Amino acid sequence: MDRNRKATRQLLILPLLTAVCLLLFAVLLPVLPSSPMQKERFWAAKVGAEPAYDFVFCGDSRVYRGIDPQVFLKGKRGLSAFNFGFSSAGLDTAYLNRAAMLLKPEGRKTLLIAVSPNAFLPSSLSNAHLWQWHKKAAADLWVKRHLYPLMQNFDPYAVSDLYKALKHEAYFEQFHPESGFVASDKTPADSNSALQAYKNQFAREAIDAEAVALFVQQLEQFRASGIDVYLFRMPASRAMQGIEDDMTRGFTGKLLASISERNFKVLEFNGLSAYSYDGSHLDSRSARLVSAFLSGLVLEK
Amino acid sequence: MLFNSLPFLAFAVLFFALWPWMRRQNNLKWLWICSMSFLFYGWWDWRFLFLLLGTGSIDYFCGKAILSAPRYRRFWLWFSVISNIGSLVVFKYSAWLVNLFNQACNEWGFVSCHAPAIPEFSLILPIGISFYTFNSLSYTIDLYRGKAEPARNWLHFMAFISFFPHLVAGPVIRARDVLQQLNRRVQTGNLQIYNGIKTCIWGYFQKMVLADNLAVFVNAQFNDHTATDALSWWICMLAFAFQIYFDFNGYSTIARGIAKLCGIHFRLNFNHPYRSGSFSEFWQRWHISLSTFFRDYVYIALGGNRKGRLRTELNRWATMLLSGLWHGANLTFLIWGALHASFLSVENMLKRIPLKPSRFIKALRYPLVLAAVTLAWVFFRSETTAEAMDICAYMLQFKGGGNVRELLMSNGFVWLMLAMLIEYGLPFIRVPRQLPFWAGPLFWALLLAATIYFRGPEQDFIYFQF
Repeated sequence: MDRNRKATRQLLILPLLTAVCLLLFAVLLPVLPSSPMQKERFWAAKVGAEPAYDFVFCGDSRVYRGIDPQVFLKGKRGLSAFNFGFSSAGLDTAYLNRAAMLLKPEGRKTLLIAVSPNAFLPSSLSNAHLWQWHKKAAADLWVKRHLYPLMQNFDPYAVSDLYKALKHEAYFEQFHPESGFVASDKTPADSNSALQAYKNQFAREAIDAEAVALFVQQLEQFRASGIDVYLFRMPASRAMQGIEDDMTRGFTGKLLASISERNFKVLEFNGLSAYSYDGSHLDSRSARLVSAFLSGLVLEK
Repeated sequence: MLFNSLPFLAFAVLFFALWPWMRRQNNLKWLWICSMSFLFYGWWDWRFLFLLLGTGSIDYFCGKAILSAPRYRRFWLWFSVISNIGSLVVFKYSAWLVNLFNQACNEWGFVSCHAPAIPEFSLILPIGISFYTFNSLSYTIDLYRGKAEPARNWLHFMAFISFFPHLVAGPVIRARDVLQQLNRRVQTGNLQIYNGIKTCIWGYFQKMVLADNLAVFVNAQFNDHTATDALSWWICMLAFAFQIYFDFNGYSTIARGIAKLCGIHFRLNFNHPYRSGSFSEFWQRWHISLSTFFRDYVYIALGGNRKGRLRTELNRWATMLLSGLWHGANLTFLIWGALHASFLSVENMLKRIPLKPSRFIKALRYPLVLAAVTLAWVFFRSETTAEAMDICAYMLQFKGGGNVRELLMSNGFVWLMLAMLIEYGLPFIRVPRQLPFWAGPLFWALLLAATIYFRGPEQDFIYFQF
């Protein structure tokens, strides 16, 4: 066969075969428990959120995995809420101001801040996760927000994904870009798996007292500018709370008590039973329970 | 714009949708290449288009002056060389040089703080500056030497300089190779188009699957730094050796594929460098376009090997140190260049020993060259010399203690094995001659689907920073 004619036929058949191969891969590969592309879309949407909310939740991964704004608002018409949690978020002025900017001027203007010792460690105060996303080019963020939803079936697979699928191990994540919440579950769950990492972190780093003082000042400024602030400690496993309290000499309790003395509203999850799949983060069912409980404390009063 | 990004996909669709028509219109062809290449470059930062236009225009007019005023041709050549090297010094080396100066002053007890005096714009490294200044420089030098034909006009010259497949990360191309091809009325048949697409798919597979997945493993180890055992670091550095190879070769292959679709042929930039049995062979196979640039315009210009042994060694060292410095403004790159210069010098000395090596010694050369090159990559990858020295110490002390099982079960190790299998195993695969016509497209379709589903997290091309 003439080489050019053969190439013409090969050129014609290539897109067809590519489509068949893509379909074959899509059918044969296991369903991913967490979509990397939707994850990118989720963070792009979070960092690009507009000032359109009555309630904004602030804190670290415990917050974005532990509070579902849609459950928080269930049945409350005309209100809006957004979860502005970032991994290892530090409660510094820049992060809090960024969160406050999401409150709509004519709305309820309420910040709900989860306090933990981690939020005042130097490594958290750099807010690396937030700024890593904040620094991305606008065009890149646009692509992730608007084109990634169209590419749901083209998630990349790591070799370990296939290996884990065979062993029935999975970290399920369902991303909700519209509310900033990630419903998370893990199989098999191990409520002690995160403890050692926290122990190491508290052994390595000390709480930044200056950052704590600045945080309290920032709360006063919010109050002066008409923003309502609620503070709370996210539920975690007992062992985890024990480690936090022992290694930071009861920092969270002391901070919340001193803030309460300044007439800020401190919320407590008394009588609520929540389950953490690694000791630190709540599973999706508990997250919804906590969100409903918070709703009762904040909206039903 | 990254080759492995969605905006580039849209860009390529637009470019190739109109290219078959544009390439037939003489002026439109050049205008189309220029305007689309400027869009490609300006996508990153449009302000630096002025730098590209500025240095390109200087070289174009210097080239004209060299031909029209032979009495002053040496002056115009130096004017072009100095303005190109000058722009490199300002944008690539100024901050580093000022820091070195400050450090030296502090060592000697003087107080010096010139860093704030550096204009802010010069602290941003314009993407691809090292590549397009070299492309541009080769034009004036070749004109001076009478080895190239002049560009017909400014637009032709700018199309050669800014032609988007090679603009930001090479290969370094010569005016004499590409200008003539661009001047021809290019006809691309279906065979060339099919070959171009195959080349692109192969390049994308190397970059997005092999290099990007290896990058995850390498970056994790460099960020974490908790491993102190030799095995972890040898595997990590081997992974980096293959990451940088597949990253850059992937880019060059995609560039060749895109150029092929336009009817332009770029020379091979990598020829299986890790299959080298000597360091000189390694440099004949690694980043061939840059190696030959340095050979032709630095090593040979300095006298090459024609002026005695000592001078040959000095020339080799100067060339390798400059090559190291070309990669980046950091002492680590200089040391990387110096290490390769020393490897070449030792190899040259060993060649003079009148002994016939046994088969075993001959076979041993291959892993030895790979090990030495891998060790040198430590300096290339590390941020500081202190970090590099620590890693070299871990690698050379041969201390145990790492979690071998975990390491061998990691994603990174699997990708490293696959990368090595592809590099060393491909020559042993014999493709039967009589295959049905659909066998080829089926293979490339499978490779494309695998690239889409097994791509690593999107990473910049390593050579963008140079």
